[in-house]
Amino acid sequence: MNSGRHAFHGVVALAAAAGAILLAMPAVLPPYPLFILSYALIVAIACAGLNVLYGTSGLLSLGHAAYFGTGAYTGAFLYRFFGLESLEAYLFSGTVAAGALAAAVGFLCVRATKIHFAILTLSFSMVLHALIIDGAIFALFGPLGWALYLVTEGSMYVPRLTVLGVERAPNAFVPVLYNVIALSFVVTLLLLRRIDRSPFGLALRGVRDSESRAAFVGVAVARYRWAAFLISGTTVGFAGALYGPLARQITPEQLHWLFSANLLLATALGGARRFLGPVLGAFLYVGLDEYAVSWIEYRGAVFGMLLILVIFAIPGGLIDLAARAAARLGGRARD
Amino acid sequence: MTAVLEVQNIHTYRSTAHILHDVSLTVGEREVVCLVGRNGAGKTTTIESIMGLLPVRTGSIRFQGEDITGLPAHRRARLGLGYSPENCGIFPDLSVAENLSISRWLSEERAAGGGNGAAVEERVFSVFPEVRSLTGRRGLNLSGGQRKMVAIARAMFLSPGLLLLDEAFEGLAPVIVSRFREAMIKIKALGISLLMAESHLPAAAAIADRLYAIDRGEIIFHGKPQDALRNEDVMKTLRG
Repeated sequence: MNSGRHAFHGVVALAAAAGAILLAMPAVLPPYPLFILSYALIVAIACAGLNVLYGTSGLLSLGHAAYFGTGAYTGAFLYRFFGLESLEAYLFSGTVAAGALAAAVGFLCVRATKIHFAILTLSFSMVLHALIIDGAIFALFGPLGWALYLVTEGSMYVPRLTVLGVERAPNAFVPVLYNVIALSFVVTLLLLRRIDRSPFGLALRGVRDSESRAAFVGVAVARYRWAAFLISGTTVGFAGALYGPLARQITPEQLHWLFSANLLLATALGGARRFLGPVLGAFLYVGLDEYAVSWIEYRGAVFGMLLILVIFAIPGGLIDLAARAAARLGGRARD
Repeated sequence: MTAVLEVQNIHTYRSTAHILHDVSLTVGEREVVCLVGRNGAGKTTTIESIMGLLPVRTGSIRFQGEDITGLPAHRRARLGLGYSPENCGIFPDLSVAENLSISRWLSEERAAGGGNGAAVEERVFSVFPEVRSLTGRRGLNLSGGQRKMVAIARAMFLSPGLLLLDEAFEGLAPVIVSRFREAMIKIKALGISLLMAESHLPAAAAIADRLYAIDRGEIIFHGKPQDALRNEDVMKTLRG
């Protein structure tokens, strides 16, 4: 009990420190690095959300781009066809739409496990990708929608949204949005950690390790998996909804399964079995992607080789290595 | 005596192999019943059928008067069927405290906030005080005897009416066996019935109120332990 309280204080202190550092960044960083940091935080939220299924529940989804894309696209459609211009409504609608999709797809997918689960999630996300890239969803909005599709081929523009009803000047928008993203990052991670350490989170690990053991202990396996899927998809959808206003241009790439795979790779690189592993992986992934541009042709290869190295040498991911090093230095770092 | 568990004429298959042939047995309130038989006789299959981990083809299973034949395992657990399998089924990646807290949480959920968690915990630790000192240990790092204690403790957190124990004494040092026997008597005194699968007849006879002998998926004897020990045919079959 005592150590639990101790850990709780540690988490609050860590979250407060992380929040303070993040909130100081707009004053320190030039616009472009701030933009990249914003993107890294979004990917970190997505990877942490994905990991509720992958690391905690042992279910490998290849279709989480669908929720990221739904989160990003929903507000863009609402802007284009219904004149929605507020960031809050954009975030809310995208998250709810992604959550609803995750509830429906998850309900069907959790009946399968392992490779069948991966293929099912992949299939659903490919259907959604096709509906966007072939214009079927645009056609729902009549001739205007179809005309838009013919011009943009599935991409969508997002304006500078109003934040709390206030329109921002072009160079003031990204710092304000950054603050929203940083705050979202801290709050989402605190919520996910709370779920992770709850008996529900423990039960998910139990299901991951053995379905029948979890069942005879009293865990309703399919229902718990579904709840994990819902939490995971909604979180990734929220990340997507943050991404739209930041990127200002959404493309079908965000719905493509390669994006799902990248989220998974980043999570595995950082370490799926520790809570902060996916966050570390997301930062590394975005960092490599951005700052390795000098080797442009090779960055995929560099990332791939790094991942191969990690999987063979440190299956727990890079965060495991960091934690072990910290433990050796005398600290008792568990996450 | 009213029956807590009534198994009537069940037939169970593992894929295409017909394992259980017309098995019937009952467990009464506050009764310790042992199911004895050699390895491969059908003990585990019987227990798994009762727990809902294997589907029965025909026949029925009633628990505390309710027909549970078609219920999934987790529903049976929530009704109060506790189970400790032969391999104990501890989640290796979780600590002992975490292993226990899942069951504790589920039973509190079942009681819908009628929170008697502390009382249940008291009861569990009165039977196995040793478990208290193991709570920080990971499931992976437990010895065989500790694993069995934790598995039974975990099942008790569900406030069961009946505990199904598969090979509870297997692989234990003689000192620990007597410790476990003592624990079984305490569990019985708490009002929990026990159905134990055992391959060692003398161990079973020492604590059972009643005893079933199973061979090749059929019940070949049912009665008092002393009668089983005196029955030449039963002894011969069990010895192999």
